[in-house]
Amino acid sequence: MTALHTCTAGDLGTLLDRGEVGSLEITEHLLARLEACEPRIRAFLSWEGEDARARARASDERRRRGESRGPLEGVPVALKDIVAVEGQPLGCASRILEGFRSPYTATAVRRLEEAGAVVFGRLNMDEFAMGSSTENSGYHPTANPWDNRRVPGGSSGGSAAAVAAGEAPIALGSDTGGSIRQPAAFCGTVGLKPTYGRISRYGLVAFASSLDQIGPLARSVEDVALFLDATCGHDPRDSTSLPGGPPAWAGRLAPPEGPLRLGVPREFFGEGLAPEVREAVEKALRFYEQAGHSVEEVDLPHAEYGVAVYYIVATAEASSNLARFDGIRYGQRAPGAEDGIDLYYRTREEGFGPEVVRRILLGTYVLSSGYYDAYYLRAQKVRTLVQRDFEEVFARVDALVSPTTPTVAFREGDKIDDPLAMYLNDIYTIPANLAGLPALSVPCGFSPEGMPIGLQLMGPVLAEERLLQLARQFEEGHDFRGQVAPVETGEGRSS
Amino acid sequence: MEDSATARHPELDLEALGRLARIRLRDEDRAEFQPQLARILGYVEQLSRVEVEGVEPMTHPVPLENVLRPDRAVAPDSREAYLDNAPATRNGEVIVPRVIEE
Repeated sequence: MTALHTCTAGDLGTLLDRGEVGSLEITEHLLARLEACEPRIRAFLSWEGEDARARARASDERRRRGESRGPLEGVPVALKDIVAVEGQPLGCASRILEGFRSPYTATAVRRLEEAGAVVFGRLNMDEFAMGSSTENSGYHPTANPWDNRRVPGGSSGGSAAAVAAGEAPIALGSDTGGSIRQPAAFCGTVGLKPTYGRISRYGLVAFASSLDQIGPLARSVEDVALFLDATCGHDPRDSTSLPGGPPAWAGRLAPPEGPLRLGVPREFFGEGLAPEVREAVEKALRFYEQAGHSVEEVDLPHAEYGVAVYYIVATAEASSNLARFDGIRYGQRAPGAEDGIDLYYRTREEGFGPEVVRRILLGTYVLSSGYYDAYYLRAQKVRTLVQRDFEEVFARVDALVSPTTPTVAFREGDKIDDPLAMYLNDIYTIPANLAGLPALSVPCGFSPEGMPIGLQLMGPVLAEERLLQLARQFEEGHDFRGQVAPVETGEGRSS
Repeated sequence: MEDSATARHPELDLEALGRLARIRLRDEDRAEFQPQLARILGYVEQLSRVEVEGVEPMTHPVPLENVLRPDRAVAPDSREAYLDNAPATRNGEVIVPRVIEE
């Protein structure tokens, strides 16, 4: 039998259905894989092996009774440290939440549980999801499994690294400006950010509420669809949740019916795009043409302002959302405060890392009296123009194809002292968040140095099914499906 | 680039921002953040080039409307579970330092 950690969730489901393996055996195998990989990769902040085993046993018991809950029954799914699971730690990789345990479970996690998944682990991330390299974690960085001197991307770097290293077949991530797609591209996995409102944000710690979305990272398009089928759908506990029940995309991944019109946004191929990324994406475009789709250049004239809009809108929302971390009701409280106000100052100084402080200060500035109109209000208007560009383009084409990131994964320490250079890494992913559109990244090649390259597909609102079908068509024509990075596990290089 | 950006933003008063955000900033923090933030503000300055006359500001990617849920009693969240996460409690209350001057 194939080593279980190299199996996709779909493969595991087949083995489970045939009774060839149990969930407990899979879970034990993955926990062992995790123990072997973690000294190098450090994708997890913590994990509770006993809890995972108990969930796996419960799943095996349900299966024995003929009460399987569906295709994810017994399949392990690892969680980013940004969603609530009752009784488990929730820290957003921040010191300010050290010791916090969730009093309730996020809707997306509850739905995974209801689908039978064995949810486990707290995956590393940039503190409060602010960053593109996972170097801003309040605890430790995470290594890219393809080259341990390089970053896995961020903020869902732990999620991408765990999936790429074979520590989990699927991981939950969150995406505010590219935090699922960029690490997916850097680590050679599939990652999808749904249409804003598809997956409930109840129990997701808020960074920038008008941009945040939960989504999956996995080693196949089918696995991404399985996660979405389990988690999408209206939730009365999230006021921004879209109407509609759960989808059934995993069973509808045949190539899209009829040839599609694919748009290539000119602005995504300009200065700063690495030649090896351009080459891989152009090759992918030729693949789609040969498959019968038409490819045409389109313009998104305001996309170039996306990063600027984002760093005003997202920091403004963050400065407001993070006001709740005050040392009073939960989380860490700094000792020695003279009075209530002094307690805020000390707690927030001690608890937040430098990038979080930078963004809170920036957000405070753009919202402050006298600057609000020039920065925040203007950024909101340009955001409208970014969204209009997409509406006009999607009147003519069915989906957009572009690179996910301008470069492959960079080296640790390369950008950490230059926040603006770090921000520009998200130049191709941010526009979809601003407009609330679905977008995914699928592996499309390797650089000469052996680092993965990601292809981004963006669609109009609610067009996830089309994106999944296009991605699956690409996957079937290539060899990237199910790829696991060769990780030094102490027993030599293995995958 | 840092210097010209800082020159364009003489109003970037980190002391005041730290006060508004309730974050204590040490001298070394200010020395680090000042040029970084000035550079970021210099970058976002490009938005002033965009013609936004008559454009509605966008607060949310999807239209939001109020909905009503059925008026049904449900089990409330447990007070104990929430108090368990508080740094200091006594008799079902959160303890905080003095907030009223003597």
